[in-house]
Amino acid sequence: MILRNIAIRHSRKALAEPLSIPFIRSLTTETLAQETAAIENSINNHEKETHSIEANINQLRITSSFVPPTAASEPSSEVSDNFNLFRSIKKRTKKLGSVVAPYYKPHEFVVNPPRPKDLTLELLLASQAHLGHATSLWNPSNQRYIYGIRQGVHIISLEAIAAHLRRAAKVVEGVAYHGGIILFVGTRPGQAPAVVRAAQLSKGYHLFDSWKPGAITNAEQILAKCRIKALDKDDQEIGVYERKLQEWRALKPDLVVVMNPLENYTLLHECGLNNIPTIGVIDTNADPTWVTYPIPANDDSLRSIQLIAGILGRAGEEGQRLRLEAAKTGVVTWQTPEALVRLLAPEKNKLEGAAKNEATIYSDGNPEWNKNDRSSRRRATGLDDDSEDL
Amino acid sequence: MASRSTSPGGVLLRASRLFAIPPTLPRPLPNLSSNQSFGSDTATLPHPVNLSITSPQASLARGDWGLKRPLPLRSTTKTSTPVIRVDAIDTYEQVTDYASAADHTLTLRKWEEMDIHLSTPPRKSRSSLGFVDAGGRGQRSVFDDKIDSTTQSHTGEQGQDARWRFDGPWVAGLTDGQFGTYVTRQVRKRKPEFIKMLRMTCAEAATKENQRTAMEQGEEVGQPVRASEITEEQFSKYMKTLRHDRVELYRHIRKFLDLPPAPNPLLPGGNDWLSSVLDGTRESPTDIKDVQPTSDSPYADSGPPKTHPSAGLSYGRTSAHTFNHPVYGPQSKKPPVKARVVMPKGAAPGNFAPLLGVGGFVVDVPSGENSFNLRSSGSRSTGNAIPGLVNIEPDKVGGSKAYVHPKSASVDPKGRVILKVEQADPEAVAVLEGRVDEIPRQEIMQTKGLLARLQHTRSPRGYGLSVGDFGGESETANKP
Repeated sequence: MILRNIAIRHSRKALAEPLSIPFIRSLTTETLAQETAAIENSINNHEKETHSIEANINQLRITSSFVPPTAASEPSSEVSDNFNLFRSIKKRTKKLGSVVAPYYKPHEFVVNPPRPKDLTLELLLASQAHLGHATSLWNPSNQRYIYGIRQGVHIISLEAIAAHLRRAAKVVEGVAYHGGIILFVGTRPGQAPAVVRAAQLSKGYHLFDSWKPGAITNAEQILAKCRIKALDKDDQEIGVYERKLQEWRALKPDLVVVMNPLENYTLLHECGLNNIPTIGVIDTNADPTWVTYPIPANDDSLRSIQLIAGILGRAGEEGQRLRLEAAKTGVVTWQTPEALVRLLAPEKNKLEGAAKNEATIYSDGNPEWNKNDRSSRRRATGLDDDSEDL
Repeated sequence: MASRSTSPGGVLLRASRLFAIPPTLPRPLPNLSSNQSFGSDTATLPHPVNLSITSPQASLARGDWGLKRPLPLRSTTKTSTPVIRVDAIDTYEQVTDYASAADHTLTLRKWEEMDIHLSTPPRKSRSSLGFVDAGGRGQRSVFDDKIDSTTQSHTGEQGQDARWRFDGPWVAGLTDGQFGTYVTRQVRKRKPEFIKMLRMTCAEAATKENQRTAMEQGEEVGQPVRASEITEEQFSKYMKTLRHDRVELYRHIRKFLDLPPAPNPLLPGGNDWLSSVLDGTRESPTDIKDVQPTSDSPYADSGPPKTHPSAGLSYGRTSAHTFNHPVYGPQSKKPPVKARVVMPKGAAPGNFAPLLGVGGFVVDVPSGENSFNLRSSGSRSTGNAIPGLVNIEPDKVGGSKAYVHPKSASVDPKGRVILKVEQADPEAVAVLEGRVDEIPRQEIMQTKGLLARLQHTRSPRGYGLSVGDFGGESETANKP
């Protein structure tokens, strides 16, 4: 009743919704303008009618004493009320409805890749890792990995893939545990996210555009401007060696993981010349002797590459975790090369005087400070490749 | 090797979806006729030869089809029908050979919408007499228990034909050269085997003869004759009798080579002969046995089908169910289907009959229907015929259309779908198009006998109804 009174007092026009016709359109279009005029007329008519009714109603006692509420008099808690209502409804209905069964989420392969212990033959099959190339393209040295021929392509044995992938995961984990530099390479389109994620997990380095030939064999020239930093056993940077390390040779990776060996033969060749171990995904048309640890699998499917890179990345993550855990108990899992120790000896002596406590941290009984250095070198560009000295 | 066959990976691979893709079927050959035929590589084949593959939305957006490599996004995602067929998973050029499979996928979807079950091929019209078609041998569902079988039944001779798969070829459908090749390549080398089988049947016949004589003379039935006991003289005599008894010989040959049933004989002279027999002007020159069907099989006349006669188009035994209209209730006719006039009368050289396209299938115009009767429309200037059937209507956007009801469908041995349609019921068309006001009520009263009887007791409601009381309260509005 009260609300109706308000409507009457403030006339229908005030409560009516604003006209939905845009202003410009009503100006430009003649027909629309006419319509607008018609609506305007009808509203005016209604207003007149309302006024006549209003006059009648105003004579009543109850309306004469009524004061319409103003916005200022009442604090508007509409927003907070609505929000509270929403939250209470949500809380009550949270347990209602059905539970969606686990389903395949393609992005999980990159964001949250499976661990080596999660590796199953079914997962490999679902990731199309078993599909080789057309039979006419095969490299006969892959015969030992091939299960058979189906629909014109070679089928790689799932057991062989799983065994080789597990072995490669062990290698990555071992290298990460001993503080080695791992380089993940995948230069085909679409492989970048998987490669970057694997490098992120294993605290390694990635390459997804193209390998600059000579970055290992001619590193002095190509990586001359790259910075080297010294880390202690807890991966904290030690700043005092900056100037000395400028003179140091460019670093080389300790392990190179290549997702597409066919396009990266130069890289693999350079690794071979420098005795750097390599892991590679070998499809049926690739040569398994190019890499140290082959993983026979489909290198064309992005899903297969995401699975392999993810599992190796997780293995590297596990190795890094074990290394840092060991470092907390004082165990240092790597050795600094003799030449580096000699180079950094003067700085070490200076530092020893300043902070004696540092040497006592290490419980392995070796007070040599330099042994706890981990050096790496980072290029300013997107290509990150590092190595420790031999 | 033994370990390989039982390896867990092998088991998984054999159960995988990719391995379940059937090999490509041979492309159907074009018609062997003297007609001018224009072959096209891009034309839709009469039947699919590859499996259609689709992919879930999330994988589709990534190009992941479960194949060797991700497929290009441009051609697989920018389409309303993301369905492909794969010709080769990997080729020498290191690409996956695939093409869109929208044609057959959409055809199947339209077929499901039309809701037609598959039946056995229609009989050749031989006579108007009842006795030829006496045994209920009209069009039956291909899923009928009596005929949907691939194995030999043991019920007897007639039961043998109640299947659609045979080892031997359909001799009536072979060309002369094909038949010669079949005889020289496959039949000839089985001669010793056949002789051996004939010896067995000879021994059986001798046993029967012995039993018969023993029964007649009231003696005790002796031991059955073995095939090894048959002398050369006996056997050559048996062979000579067989050569004269061609029916018996054919029976043995058919059983041995597992040949499909031969086509049923046609009446000599067609209807003229029949009418002359009926009038009594001519004595029946042939025995009635000769014109009786030789086989019960529904595939005797057309030849056995290559695949299951349903071709996977429909798995229903019947489509005889009522369409329930949301407003007017149950209808006697299902909603009609819009057919396109693919070719008007006499448009192609050597082909005078017009053709319709219904749900992706080219069909002949229904015979004996008013709207499609071109002969009567020729004499009457206006007629009921659909104008697009006679002449091309160039001013019609999208071409001439006509409503039809799909009647029946069957698959011929070449894998082509033979669809039969009938003229659409005008009431069903009106209901479909929402023009029920235009239906003349008086006409309905007259045609629908039941409705006419009901109009005295209760008001008729609804359209396309045999029994009223389903329609709304729109009686007054619709009354003329």
